[in-house]
Amino acid sequence: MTGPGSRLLVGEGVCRYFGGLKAVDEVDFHLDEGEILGLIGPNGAGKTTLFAVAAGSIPATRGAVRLGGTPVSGRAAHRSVHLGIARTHQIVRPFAHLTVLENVLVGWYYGRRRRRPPGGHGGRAAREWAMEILEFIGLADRAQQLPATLTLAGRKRLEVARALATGPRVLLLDEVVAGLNAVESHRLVALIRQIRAGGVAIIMIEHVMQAVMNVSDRVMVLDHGRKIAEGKPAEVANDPAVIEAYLGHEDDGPRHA
Amino acid sequence: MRARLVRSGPRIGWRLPAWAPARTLVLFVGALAVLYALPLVVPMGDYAHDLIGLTFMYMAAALAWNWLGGYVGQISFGHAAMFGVGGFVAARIALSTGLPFWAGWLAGGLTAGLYGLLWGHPTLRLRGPYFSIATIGVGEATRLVATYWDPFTGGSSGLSLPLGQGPTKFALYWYGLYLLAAVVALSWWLRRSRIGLGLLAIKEDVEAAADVGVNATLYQDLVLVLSATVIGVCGGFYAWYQAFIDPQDLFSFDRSIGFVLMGVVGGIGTILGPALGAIVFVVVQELLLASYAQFYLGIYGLLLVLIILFEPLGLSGLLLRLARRLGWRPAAGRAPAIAAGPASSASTTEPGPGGAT
Amino acid sequence: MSEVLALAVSAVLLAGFYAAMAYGLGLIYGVLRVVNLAHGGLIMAAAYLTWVLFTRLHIDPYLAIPVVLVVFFAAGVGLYRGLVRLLPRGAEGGVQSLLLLFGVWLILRNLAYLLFSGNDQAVRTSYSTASVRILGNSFAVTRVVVFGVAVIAMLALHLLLRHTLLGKAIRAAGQNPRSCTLVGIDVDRIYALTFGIGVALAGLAGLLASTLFAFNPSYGAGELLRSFVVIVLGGLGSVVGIAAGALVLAFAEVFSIYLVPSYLTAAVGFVLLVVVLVARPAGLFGQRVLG
Repeated sequence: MTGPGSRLLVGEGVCRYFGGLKAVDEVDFHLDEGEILGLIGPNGAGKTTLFAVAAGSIPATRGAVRLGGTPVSGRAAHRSVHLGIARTHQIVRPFAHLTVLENVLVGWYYGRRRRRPPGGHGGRAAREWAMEILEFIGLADRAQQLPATLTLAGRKRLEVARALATGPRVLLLDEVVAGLNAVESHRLVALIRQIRAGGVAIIMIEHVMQAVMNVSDRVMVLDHGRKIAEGKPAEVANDPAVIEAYLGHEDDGPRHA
Repeated sequence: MRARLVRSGPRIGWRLPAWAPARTLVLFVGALAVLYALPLVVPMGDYAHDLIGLTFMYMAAALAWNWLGGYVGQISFGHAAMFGVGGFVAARIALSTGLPFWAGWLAGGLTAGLYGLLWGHPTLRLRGPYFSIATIGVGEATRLVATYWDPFTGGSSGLSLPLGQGPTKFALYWYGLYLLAAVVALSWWLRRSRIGLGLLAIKEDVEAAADVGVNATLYQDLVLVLSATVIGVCGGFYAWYQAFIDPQDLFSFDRSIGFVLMGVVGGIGTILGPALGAIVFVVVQELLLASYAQFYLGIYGLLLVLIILFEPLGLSGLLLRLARRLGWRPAAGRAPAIAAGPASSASTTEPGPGGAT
Repeated sequence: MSEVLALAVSAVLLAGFYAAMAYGLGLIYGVLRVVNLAHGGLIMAAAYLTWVLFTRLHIDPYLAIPVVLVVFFAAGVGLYRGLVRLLPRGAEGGVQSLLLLFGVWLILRNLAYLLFSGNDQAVRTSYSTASVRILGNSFAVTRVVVFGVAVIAMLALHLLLRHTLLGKAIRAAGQNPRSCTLVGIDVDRIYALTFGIGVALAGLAGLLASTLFAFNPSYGAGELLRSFVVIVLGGLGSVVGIAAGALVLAFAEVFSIYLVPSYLTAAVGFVLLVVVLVARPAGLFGQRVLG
């Protein structure tokens, strides 16, 4: 049931309307154990809205998202985290007056409810675990500094570290590579692969086509809130509907990192 | 990845919780012992003795206000509502039952806590100015109802407490001290335990906090209930201290303002700053009420303006600066968590001024 | 039936005053995202200024309107340039400016107390007790005049914001200050002017209040709250929204006498405030700020 390939996160007929705007419209999707799903589409296609619904930040207008059979959409965001879905934000939102380590500790302490964190809640053990996450993510030497002292790449890593600290089964990454230079994004992609290797399934929204095509097992394309294509990266890249959607939005089209 | 992170660390033996290191505990117990023995050793006269007891109560109240105002960043302009509720419930219980005074304090505190939850649960979803304005509404509505609710509050004629049944003013010194000790310990726990980290996260960014699993509603409600309960007990203390209580006094807007002032003057968001603020408040009040009663609001207003403009951490910020000038350096990583505003965090990242002199 | 009608007219007259009172607070919030917590104190100060002009210089309160507007406009610009501008914007600055302006309120209260003592004052003109008949009921002349002045002020403001270049700049600064800088609008100057206009409106409200109610240095807390209720109810979308919010509040207060004892009518407004704040969280002021 929980082996690789089995359905982990499933969305059925997910809709989210803002007034008359259909930000997400009848989208079916699924994420398997140990999979990386790329979510692409022109600006305003509804990708981030779909994330917000899947993470429970906002309720779906219709349809449902389930994690291993348990509904996640339409509940408080912290409930989704406790169930095992963590997200990062496109515009990073570190806790500015908390140190890097403390940022991660918040996720460590609060990300689980019934599931006891390994090593218990004790202060010292938690710090060690948080440091281990920071080492893994490559920020261990900045643990005692404030997020403002980090570069953009550093803050994006912190965002990932904080989400990872909650012990997620599903990680929703919203444009973590965007805005980074070639070296930085290459490293972050390697990190994403490692996270997946650790048993976390990932959905990533990305504009940087090279990154998303390289790392994804499967790609799903949204346009105007609807799913227009889904499949292996190579298939999707040659799909006429996808090409048209991007050509129609030249300004926001795919950039190459 | 997962395998790397999973390791079972056996916990052996008993140790102090991380939020209460040994040095802090020793200081705490020491200060408590000194204050306990002080009136027995130093002859200070009734006036000073009583005033210190009252100051303990105000320190406790200011710290409790700061849990909400400083730790989660929700500025309440309506805490007089709970102060009054606690005071009048305590007085009523003393007047109409034979229960001991502390049962009245407890009942008053719990009632105030529940009342806080009643209005706080819906309004704490609001942030910043919206919450503050809503608390003015709560405070004023409570004041109006209390002022005209004769059967309970005695209306404009107030209530007199049955003096023989309660603690003497002399004994209130120690009850005030116990109250303060409990509140200081709670302050420390709320700030330095893992709950404190969650509260800071809520203060920084409610949505981001929820996205890492912090149940903001639950923790804000918890903090408000704790804060309201303590303020309610303080109201009960005040009722016995004054022996006569009047809804126009206990529920007044000025009283709510008083809690805000103590918090901000002492250092909003710091662990113990508001206790300093309470001392200043009482001293200024006593000095000015004696000779220049007509100035005291304006002086507080001026203080507020100056503090916000020049030292958002209030007295605590000033002390911190002084300590730094004398060569003391806070352990890296701790100071920012205590800090409240951008000015303070900037000062912790800049290099210290020239080391020890 | 006639009682209901009388109460309804009374509520409409009251709503005019409430709308004028709320607009100053709403304008400042809408453009600067700062809640002017000194609003109530400024209303109180204007009431005293009107009273001084009337009792010492024998200037009719309604003829003193230009004087009060100019004085309070200047005070508003001064407050902005001297204090509010020094604070950071955004969430952090929100709480700070709240506390700062609260300090200003305390200072104003204390000044009023020193100058005029804590006693109640009122502006009593020769026509204060005169009344006019509207729909079969008689109403104080002052209430009708206040309503008229309030309506004129609202219309003037509407014209200013919608049909002048300055108004357009103010609305633009409220919506997107960064773009304003790009197209050459001096945002800081616009903020100062907006704060001035907002405070001038508080001044007008204080002048009007002084002809209707008794006041003392503590006056203003209720007015601040009512202004907030109106804004929260009506949004900042338009003069119509503010007027609608003022009508709802005024009707709720006036007709609450059927439900609660008269001394609790003020509490009705406060409870309404809390209920409205909670029922319409987050985007209380709508997405359009002043458009």
